[in-house]
Amino acid sequence: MRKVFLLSLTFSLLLAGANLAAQNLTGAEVMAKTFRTAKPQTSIITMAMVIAKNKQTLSRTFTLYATGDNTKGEAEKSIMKFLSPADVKGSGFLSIRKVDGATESLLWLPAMGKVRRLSSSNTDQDSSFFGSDFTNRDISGFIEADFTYETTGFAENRYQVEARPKKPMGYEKLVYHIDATLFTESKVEYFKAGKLIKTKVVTYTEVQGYQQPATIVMTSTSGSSTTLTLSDYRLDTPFTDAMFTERFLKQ
Amino acid sequence: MHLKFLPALLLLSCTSGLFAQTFSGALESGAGWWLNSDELLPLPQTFEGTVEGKIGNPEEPAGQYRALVRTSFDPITAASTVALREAWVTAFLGPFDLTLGNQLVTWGVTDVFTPCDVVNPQDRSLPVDAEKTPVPMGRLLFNGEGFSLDAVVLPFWIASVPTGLVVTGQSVADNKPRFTAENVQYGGHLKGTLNWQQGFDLGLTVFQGRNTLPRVTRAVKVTKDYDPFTLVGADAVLALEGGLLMKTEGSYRWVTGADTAEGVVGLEYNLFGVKTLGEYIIDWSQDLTSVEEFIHTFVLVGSFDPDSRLSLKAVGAWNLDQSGLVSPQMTYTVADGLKAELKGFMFVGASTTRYGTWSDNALGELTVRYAF
Repeated sequence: MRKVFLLSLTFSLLLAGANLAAQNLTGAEVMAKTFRTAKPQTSIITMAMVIAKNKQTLSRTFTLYATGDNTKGEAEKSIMKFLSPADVKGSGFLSIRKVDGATESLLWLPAMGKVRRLSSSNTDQDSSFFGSDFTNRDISGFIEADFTYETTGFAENRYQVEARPKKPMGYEKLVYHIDATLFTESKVEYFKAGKLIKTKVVTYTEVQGYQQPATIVMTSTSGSSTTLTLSDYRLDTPFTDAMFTERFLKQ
Repeated sequence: MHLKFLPALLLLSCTSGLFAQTFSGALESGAGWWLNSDELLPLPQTFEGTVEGKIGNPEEPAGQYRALVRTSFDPITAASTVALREAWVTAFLGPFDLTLGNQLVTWGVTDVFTPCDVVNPQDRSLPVDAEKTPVPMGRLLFNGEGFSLDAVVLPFWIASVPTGLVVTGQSVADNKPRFTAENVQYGGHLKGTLNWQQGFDLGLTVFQGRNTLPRVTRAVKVTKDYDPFTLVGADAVLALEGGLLMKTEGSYRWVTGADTAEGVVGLEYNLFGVKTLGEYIIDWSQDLTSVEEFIHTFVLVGSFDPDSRLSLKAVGAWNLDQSGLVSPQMTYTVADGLKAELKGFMFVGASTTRYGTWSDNALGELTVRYAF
């Protein structure tokens, strides 16, 4: 009996120690783990975006081809090809984000018949992504080095990390709620001028051993919301750099 | 003649699934009104049907095709027309893309005035809303590492639709080029991309063709000639860190006794949420008596999307001859694929000026388009 008691006590102490150690991670450490969670080398995913406002909806469907990881010293390349609705079908957007953060963007509009080079300023990055509640920056992803981080809480197995941008951008601060086991974003709150302006909630599904977002819902305090539903995952499919060219963008 | 293509389109649509094929279309209806009078402008009511698809693996297709038929009803003449717009097939052969058929080719980088975009003729019946016309051609595009070479051959010369009153009649000699080897048009566009700032593209254009708008001579009788020309052009676009996009494009056209040149410099920037484009255009021409003329034009375009449904745009052009054009435009997305567009065109200046000559043609248009 005494042995059982001692074993239980030891186990509980070990668990509490581990838990305490976990809670002692700094904000930078939490976000470093989050940015470095296992990601597929390549991914092809279908995304359905529904923008809801005043009980009316607009939808967009596109296929996203992506490869590369800035945290591994690789350029992050992506192509979005729109599938619906019919007036945007065939349009494509190519983005190459280099390790230093510089971004090269090309836009293909079949009606115009030519590929247009785009510039990318802070204002462009903070502009709405095709009329949704996401900005272009929200979609392309944040750069870890652009923020300072501070752990502000730990509850229900989630870290609460406050991120403040080092240079001016569309947000004053972000509050991340990070799953302490998987180091994935469960929720992100976006603040501007001291007020909460929108909240992102992410659910995940496991695909080929990777935690992949299944739905991403961005809800603005103004009353609109955008839901991204991801499906048809094809991960680690080998494809070459020839896919991230004007030629593939126009096909 | 155009109806011959409809059975082919129907047959293609029956093979749905074989070649990852899709059928889509659009309905457009609208009306215009002359702002200086109480007259309405009946706009063509159109239906477009498109069949397109890829051949083979969608991510690495062996080929691609597209056919677009437009039917329209002109309320002015109460006539219906069926026109085959695009009808082309592309074969992807290693680094080469070979495309044959009725197609549109766009060269150059500037947006409002495009000196190097010379391949396709245009329908300029409404000059502020000119539309390019797909024509039969062979096109070979070589995709290299960081560069591409685009070559086209147009065996059949097709005229542009001019603006304003069409000169016809027995006393008019319309010397359209015949379908001979001498009148085959051809050219190429070389484009290279450098890894500088956020991307730097350079282009070079060479084209040998015939003017698609006539030079009208009024002597004993009216003569319309379509002069042969050789064009050399260049273009460049630089995306700078900080969001500024710089574009430039220019061309020189050798036409027997009446050379012309056009140059454009443009800047694009997101100014307080408004996508702003400014262009300066200089046109030079020399007539048969060697008299030179320079035309300087400034263009400003602002685009702003207040929300996911509404798009606002304003276009302004000003010429140094003290004439100009203003066009406010608004597009509202009613539902997926359904858009309503309201546009206005206003011209200012004396009747002898470039835009002032249209001052009695201030126009408003409302169109509704459903794409499916």
